[in-house]
Amino acid sequence: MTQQESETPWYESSFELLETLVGDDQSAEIEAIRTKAHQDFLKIGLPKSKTEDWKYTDIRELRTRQFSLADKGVVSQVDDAARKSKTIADISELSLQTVDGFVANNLDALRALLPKGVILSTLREAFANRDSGLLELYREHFGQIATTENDFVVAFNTSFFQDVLIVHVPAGAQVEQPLYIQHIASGLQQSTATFPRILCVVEAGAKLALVEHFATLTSEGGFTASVTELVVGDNAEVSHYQLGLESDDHIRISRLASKQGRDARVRFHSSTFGGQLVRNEVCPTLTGVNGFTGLYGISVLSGNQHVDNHTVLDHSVPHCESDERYKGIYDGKSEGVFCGTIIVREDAQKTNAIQNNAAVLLSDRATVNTKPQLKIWADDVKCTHGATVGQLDQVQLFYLRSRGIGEKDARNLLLRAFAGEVTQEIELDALRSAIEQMVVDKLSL
Amino acid sequence: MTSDTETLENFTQQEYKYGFTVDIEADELPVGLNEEIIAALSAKKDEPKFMLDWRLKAYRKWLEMKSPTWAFVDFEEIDYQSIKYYSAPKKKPELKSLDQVDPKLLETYERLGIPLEEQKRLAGVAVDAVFDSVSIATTYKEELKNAGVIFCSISEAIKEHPELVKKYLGSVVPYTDNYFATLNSAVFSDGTFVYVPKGVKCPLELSTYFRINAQNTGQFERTLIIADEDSSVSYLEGCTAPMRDENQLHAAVVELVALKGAQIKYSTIQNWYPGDKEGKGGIYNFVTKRGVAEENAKISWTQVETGSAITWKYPSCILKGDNSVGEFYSVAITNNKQQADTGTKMIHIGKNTKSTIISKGISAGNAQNSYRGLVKVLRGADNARNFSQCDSMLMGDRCGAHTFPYIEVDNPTAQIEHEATTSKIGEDQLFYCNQRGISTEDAIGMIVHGFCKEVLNELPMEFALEARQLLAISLEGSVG
Repeated sequence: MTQQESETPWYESSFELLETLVGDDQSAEIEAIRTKAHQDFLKIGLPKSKTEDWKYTDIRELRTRQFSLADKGVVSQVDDAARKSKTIADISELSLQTVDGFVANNLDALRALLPKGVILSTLREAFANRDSGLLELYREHFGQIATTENDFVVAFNTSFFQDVLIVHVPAGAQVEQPLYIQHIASGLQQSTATFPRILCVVEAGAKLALVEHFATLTSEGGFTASVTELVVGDNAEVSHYQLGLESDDHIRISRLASKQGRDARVRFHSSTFGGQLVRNEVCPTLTGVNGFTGLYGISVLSGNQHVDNHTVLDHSVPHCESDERYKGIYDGKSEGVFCGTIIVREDAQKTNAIQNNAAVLLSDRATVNTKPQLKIWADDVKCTHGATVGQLDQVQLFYLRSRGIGEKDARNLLLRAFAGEVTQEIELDALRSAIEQMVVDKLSL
Repeated sequence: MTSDTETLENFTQQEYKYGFTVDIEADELPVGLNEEIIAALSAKKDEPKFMLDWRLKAYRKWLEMKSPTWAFVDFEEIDYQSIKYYSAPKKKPELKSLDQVDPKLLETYERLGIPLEEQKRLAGVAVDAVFDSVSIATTYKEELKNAGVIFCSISEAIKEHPELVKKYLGSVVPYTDNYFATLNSAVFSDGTFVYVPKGVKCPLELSTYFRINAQNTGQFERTLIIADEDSSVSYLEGCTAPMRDENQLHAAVVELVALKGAQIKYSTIQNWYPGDKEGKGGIYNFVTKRGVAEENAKISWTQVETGSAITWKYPSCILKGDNSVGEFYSVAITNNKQQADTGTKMIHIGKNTKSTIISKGISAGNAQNSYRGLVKVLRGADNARNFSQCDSMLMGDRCGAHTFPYIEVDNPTAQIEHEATTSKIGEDQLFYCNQRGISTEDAIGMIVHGFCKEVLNELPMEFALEARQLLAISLEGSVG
């Protein structure tokens, strides 16, 4: 390999290979979107160390390390048992898996469990079946909230996505069981790059809960850049849960983007326990009056892990409310970053926005960087943000210990309570108790 | 609520009350910036060679740098070649008393409301009045001399105390620091120098009034304050500027050195010409202020920023020694088309270091007001403690208030708290006052004053009154 070639990063050289790897049944329409996204991506490039939004998270490794695109052929090598080995019990019967970005289930079985009118499909299927209704939905919404211009994450995902999962909940439909999606990185190829993509349209008055669970089957490191677009209609209710449980050598960047109509209630919840470097980006926009957006996150890290919770909450209309709470517990040499922006546009009077970020450092080598930001152009608003960084309260520890509770138990009790303020926001009982247990397990390492 | 809106509008459409120019013959260098200009400037000031070398080093560095773009402000590019870098009033007599001062200058002071004689007797403040770039009159020098305090212009200090200047100039803000500080290092024309010897509590509040006068003269002030071990000093800085249409650049550098156990309190009232309602004219205020606190030392910044078209200013504390303390109290008021991006940096290096940040931003008209701050706790800074509070108030629906706090913590024993709120004057608060017979305008004044009280209380007595007046002038309307 000449010097010239070795300097071309993998994401430039492998774009040509994409077609054979994802299967050649994609349409020309998708190819045009990909090509446009790839051009945007190459134009934007990877964030540099001086890029303000990436100030505290260094992803140079994406350039220097050789990743290879996921091969559709690999999916069949992962059997059902392996695919489901990471499933958390009792969350939902509506459970499906993507393997290296490809939807692995037969969706027909799941469709039978869905209420009437609810659509669950892949874009590939929609094109194969020439499903005009679904394609129309796709054309109307895909790439509208998460645009590729000036946005490296979306452009990256859009130029390489393996499958697009489309969920459509028609007006008034109530999906009582959560839709539980596991993104499995198989680790069968070396350093695989996967790009899961979801488009979810929930019409007026409908209800849906979505769980995205990121897992790895082996300790082979990989890279994931996922994008999920949520279009939420008037008076609809959507909850989105994200759970990061990858191996210690995995890099992930996830983008959640949403817009919501009037009276809609949208809640995002991110839990991060695994991964080498995880960046959760949540970008909701309130586009209808009297809406509510909740943003919650818990991170428990140890070793050399790095998490970056990056939120941009955009109040563009009046009379909306938002509640944002992120908590982190950092041990070992781990690093926690929180960068939360609240934008209140000129017309968004009577906005009520609360943002809070708290971090506990358990070790003297852990680091926390926090950047809570308010950008406010309307005058009749109530916005507050608070950030705290510290260690466990010695007085509280002493109180517990003086009542005969051992040091370790006392510490865990306090940390559980600390995390509890965020985990209690999880409305799915099975998921909440699983996550609460993960907090405990991770801390008692 | 239309009457409220009207009142607010009137509030925000105030003209600058202190705008006028006085024609005084000035001794100037030609417009432009190059190595010859710097050499000529240095020669005019009779500086030793080390200063010229330092200026040239800075200038060469500056040529390689780019104007920063990260701040939340918007302005046309500055043409540095169209600025006069030196302008001194032509008559430069050696003065012992005020009688010798040019009567025209005295008249300017009268109109500004700072008669030197009054100041001398009433306030007990030594005033080192900077008229454009050269110190004209210095009072109370003798008294300070008895205490061993050196309080003079920096040009004088360069000549008479070169060892101190050589040791400390650029030790806190190096000539490579940032675009504007580097420019200042190359071309600073004058400024203030203070040295308080070991164990001395400075008997007076030191004060300098700055004023920009000659047209097209960028004012590049350089202030260096050194508080030796266990000494303490309080320094006051205040400014007004004449009205005119061209933007003027002010790129000052302030360095504070607080040695072991020393205390420095630095207070600023800034009321430079903010430009007219359309945002035309007004001062560009790009200031670098920083202090280093050694063991057990304390540095306290207090600022009331009401003027300038653009304020770009981050008075910072490097808490280097164990148990050192940093404080930052700020009120920033922006009106019409003013833009302010201001805040502080607290760098905790020593153990048991403490810092407090209280920032109040008030934004009216079409103004943009941003708080930008950094609290950094280094690995070795055990038990560091910070409390930050940034409150913003918005008046009118075309203005913006923004907060950009950065918190970087590398030590688990640190306790960091940050709080920010944004609000407007509540209709219920106004109604409460109105129904008790207080006019809307008075009520707004009261509420604003109450909002800023925590900061105003930190100002020295002499400034507290002026600050209150400034708040009123900045926000008071013609109604009522």
